[in-house]
Amino acid sequence: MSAHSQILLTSSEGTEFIIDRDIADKSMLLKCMLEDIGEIGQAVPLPNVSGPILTKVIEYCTHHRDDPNFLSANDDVAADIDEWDLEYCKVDQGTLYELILAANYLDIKPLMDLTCKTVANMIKAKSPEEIRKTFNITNDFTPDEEDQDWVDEH
Amino acid sequence: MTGILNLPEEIRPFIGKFLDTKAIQACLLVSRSFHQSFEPILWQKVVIRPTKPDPGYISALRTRTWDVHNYVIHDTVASEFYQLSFPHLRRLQLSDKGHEVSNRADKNEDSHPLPLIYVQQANNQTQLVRLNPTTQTLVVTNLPATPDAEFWETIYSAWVSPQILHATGPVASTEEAAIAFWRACTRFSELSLLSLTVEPSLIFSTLTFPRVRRLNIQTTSGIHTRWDKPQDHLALMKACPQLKHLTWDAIMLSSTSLPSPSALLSEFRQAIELNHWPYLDSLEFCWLYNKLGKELALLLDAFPNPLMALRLRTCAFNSHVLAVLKDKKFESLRILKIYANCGITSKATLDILTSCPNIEVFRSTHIYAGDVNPSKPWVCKRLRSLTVCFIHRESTSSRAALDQQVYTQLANLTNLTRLDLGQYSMGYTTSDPEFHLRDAMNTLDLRLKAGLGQLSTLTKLRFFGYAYSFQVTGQVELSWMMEHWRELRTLIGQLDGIERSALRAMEARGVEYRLSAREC
Repeated sequence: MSAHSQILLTSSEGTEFIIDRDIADKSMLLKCMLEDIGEIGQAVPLPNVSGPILTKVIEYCTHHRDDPNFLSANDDVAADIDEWDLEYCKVDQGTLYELILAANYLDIKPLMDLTCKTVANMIKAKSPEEIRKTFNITNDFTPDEEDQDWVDEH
Repeated sequence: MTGILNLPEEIRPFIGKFLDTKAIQACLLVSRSFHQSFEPILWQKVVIRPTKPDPGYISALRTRTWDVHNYVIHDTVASEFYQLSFPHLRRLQLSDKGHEVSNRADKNEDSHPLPLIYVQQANNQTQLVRLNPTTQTLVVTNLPATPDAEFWETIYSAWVSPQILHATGPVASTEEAAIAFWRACTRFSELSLLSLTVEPSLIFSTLTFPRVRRLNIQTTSGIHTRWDKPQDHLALMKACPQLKHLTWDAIMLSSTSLPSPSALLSEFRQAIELNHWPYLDSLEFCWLYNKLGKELALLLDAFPNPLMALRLRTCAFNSHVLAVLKDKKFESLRILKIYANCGITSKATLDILTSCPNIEVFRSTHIYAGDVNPSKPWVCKRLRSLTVCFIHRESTSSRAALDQQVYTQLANLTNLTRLDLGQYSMGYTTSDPEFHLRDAMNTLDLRLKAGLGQLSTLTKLRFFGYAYSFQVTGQVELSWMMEHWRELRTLIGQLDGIERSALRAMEARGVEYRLSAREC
C-alpha cells in the first residue's frame, strides 16, 4: 500500500486541513495547480471557502475517492441521485448555496451537478406561491404584470 | 447568508438544465428578481423548425445568444439561423429526415453540378460549426446536405473541447470528406455511429482514437447502408485503446452474404483475450443470435477484466452464457439488462437474483411466480432497479399463495428506487409453451389484498410501473402508495376509479403519472 502524498489547505478563516493527494485531485482547480507547482510545502489558501464548507466538500470527495465513474459526464438529467448523496444534501439552504459556490470555485463537476440538481428539485412541481415559501421570496409583481403571458412557446 | 438569488449568473445554467418548461414557467411568476434570474433559462435550449412563423424571433434570438446552450435545427431552415454564434453553446443538433440526401444517393448525382440550394445548405452547415467552437456535443442526423471536408476540418482544428459525437446517415460527400470526418472523430471521447454511409477506406491503419472511451456502433435495419463491411467495425474498435464502454450491433454479421462472420468474431475474441482494451468493462451487444449465439458465451469467457455492465438485445442468452457469468463475472457485475428476444428463461432470471450479490440494475423479461422458491432467497440486496414481469402459468391453482411469495421476496429489496413489473416481451417469448398472457389472471395481482402491502418496506421507491401487465389498481392502492412510498415520483400503469381529489393530490406532490411506459 503506497503512501499518498498529502496536501495542506487553508480555509478563509485560516483553519488548516490536511488531505491526501488523490482526494485533492477531485478538484480540477487543485489538480491543475498541483501539477503546475509540483510538491509544495506550504498550504494552499482557499480564501473563498469557509472551514465548515471545506469540511463538507472534503467529506464528499473522500466518499467518492474510489468512484470509477466520478468524472464521466453526468448530464443524465433523469438519473436518480444516489442514497449517500441524497443524505449529504439534506442541509439548510444557506449551506447548500455555499456548497454550490465552493464546487464551482474548486471545479468539482459532480458536486456541482449534485447540489444544483438538489436546488432544481426544490423548484420542480411547485406553484409560484410554493416556490416563494420555499425560498422566502416576496412577490413584488404588480397585478398587471402577474397577468402577462411571459412564456412564448419556442 | 446566501440566498438563491445571490448565486452568481454563471451558476444559473447548472440549475436550469435540470428544470423542465413547467418549472421555469412557475419561476417566472415568483417575483421580479426571480423572473429576471430565471428567464434566461428559457433560452438555454432553442429548437428551430422550418415552420417557425414569428419573424421577430430571429431578432430576439440574436439578443439572447449568450444564454443558448443547446441549439437544435430540424430540417432545412433560413440561412440566418446558421449565421449565429453562441458563446456558451454546449450542444448542437442538426437533424433531418434525409430525403434530399437519399434521393441524391439513389440518382448518383455526385458527379453532376450541384444545385445551388444544396451548395447553400452545405455552406450554411459549415458556417454554423465554424461559429460555434465551444460545442461539446454534436448530433448530426441525415443532414440535408452531406458535409464536405471543410465541415469536418473546421471541427477538427477549431473546436475547443469536443466530447460527444452522434452521427447518423451520410456524413461525408467525398473521400476527402471521409478522411476529414475520421480525423475529426479523433478529438471526441464518445462516438455513436448509426448507419453510417461513409467509406472508411484504409483510414484505420493510420489513425487512432486515443480519447474515445465510449463507442456505439449501430445499424438500423431497413435503412440502406454502404458501411457494410463489419471488418471495419473491428478495425475502428481496435483503434480505440482507451475504450471503456462498447455497444456493438452485430446485425451485419448475421447476413449470409458476408464472408466468414465467425472468423471476424473470432478475431474480436482474440483481441479481447489479449486484453487489447484494458479499460473495457461495459458491453452491449445486439444480434449475437442463431449461429452466432454460442459466440457470446465464448466472448464472455475470454473477457479478462472485471465486467461491470452487460446489456443484450436479440442475443442468445442460454445456459452457457449464464454459466460463464456465474463462474467468472458475478462478483463485479453491477448492471445486467436482458431485453426481449434473448430467450432468457424464468429459471435463469431467478438464478441471477439468487446468486448475483452486487448487482444494482437488473432487467429481464419474465419470472413464473411458481418458480419462486422461498427457501432460495434473493441475495441481490444492493439492487436499485428491477424490471421484470411476474407471470402465472396456465395450470396454476394456487395463484394467491404464489403472489404472496413473490411479494415476500420483493419486500427484501429495500434499496430499490425503481420497480418495473411491466410486460415488455410481447410476442418474443412465443417459443415458450407455458407463456400465456391474456388477462389480469396471468400476471402478479397488484391489489392491496393480494399482498402489495408487503412492499411498505420499499421506502426509497421513486418509480413504480406495471405497463401492459393487464393489472389495474384503484383508489385503495393509490392511497396506500402515496402513504408508504413517500419518495415516489413516477407511476406508470392503469388506474381505475380514482377520485379527482386524489389525482390532484398526486400532482401536487409532484408524482408524474402515465398510462404506458417509454422504452428504457
